[in-house]
Amino acid sequence: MTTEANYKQEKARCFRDDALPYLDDVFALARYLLRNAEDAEDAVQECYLRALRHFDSYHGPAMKPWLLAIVRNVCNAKFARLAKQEITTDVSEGDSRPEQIPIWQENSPSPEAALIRQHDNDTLRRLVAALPYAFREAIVLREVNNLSYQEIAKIVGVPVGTVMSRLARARSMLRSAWNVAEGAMPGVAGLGRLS
Amino acid sequence: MNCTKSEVLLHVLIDGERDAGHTSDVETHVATCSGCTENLKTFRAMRVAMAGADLKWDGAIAFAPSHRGRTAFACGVSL
Repeated sequence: MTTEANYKQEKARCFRDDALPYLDDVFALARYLLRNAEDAEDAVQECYLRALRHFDSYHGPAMKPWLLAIVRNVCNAKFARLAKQEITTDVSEGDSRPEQIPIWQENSPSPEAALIRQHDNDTLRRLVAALPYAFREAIVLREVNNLSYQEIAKIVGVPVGTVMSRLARARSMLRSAWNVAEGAMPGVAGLGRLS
Repeated sequence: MNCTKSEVLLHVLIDGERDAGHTSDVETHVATCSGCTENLKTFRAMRVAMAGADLKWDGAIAFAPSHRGRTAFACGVSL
């Protein structure tokens, strides 16, 4: 085998071992940002292709935040106009309201614990997905991707203080939406009404 | 420290981001403010619920194998 081929194989192995374990994280962020599974899948693929192109010159930061920063850029570019509209709306960061809260049609929760749990997860995901862009991004990077304030600040390109205020606002909006959901369907497992 | 500042800064306690600063100021304020104590309790409960929930989309689980395979293939990597 030529040196060139050896090098390529070694690079492919490193990339697979270092980058592919974060597919789920990358997909989750794209899925929340784009609110569409197919677009998210395309964004993930584009992200990984970009990452591979720059893999030779990659010397940190940590792989996960790096990939999340790339996929965020891909998502922003993909829906630049839409994102811009939403971000513009978010600039005040004071009076944003979550988008329309879905009304639950079910008469009563299923007695099956697993089904209730599934419903819980669906509800929470829906509430997070309904948040305005900048707040959705902050809460997903924190709660789903488990990044630190510093890492989020770097990825989003804002000061840590802004990350903190966005998280506070996001949680406050989630609390309101959560209580609306709870009011529409009381007793959903584990959630309860938040004060 | 007042309630307006504390509203934002108490998330430092919830997230365990003690390096972000202001930790002891918030703790001191929360200890003497019932409203902020209540908020802290609520947001802690919310964080626990979110940590226990599966917030990654079903899609990630449902089509992860094919998705994984396609992305790997596009990058010229075998799984």
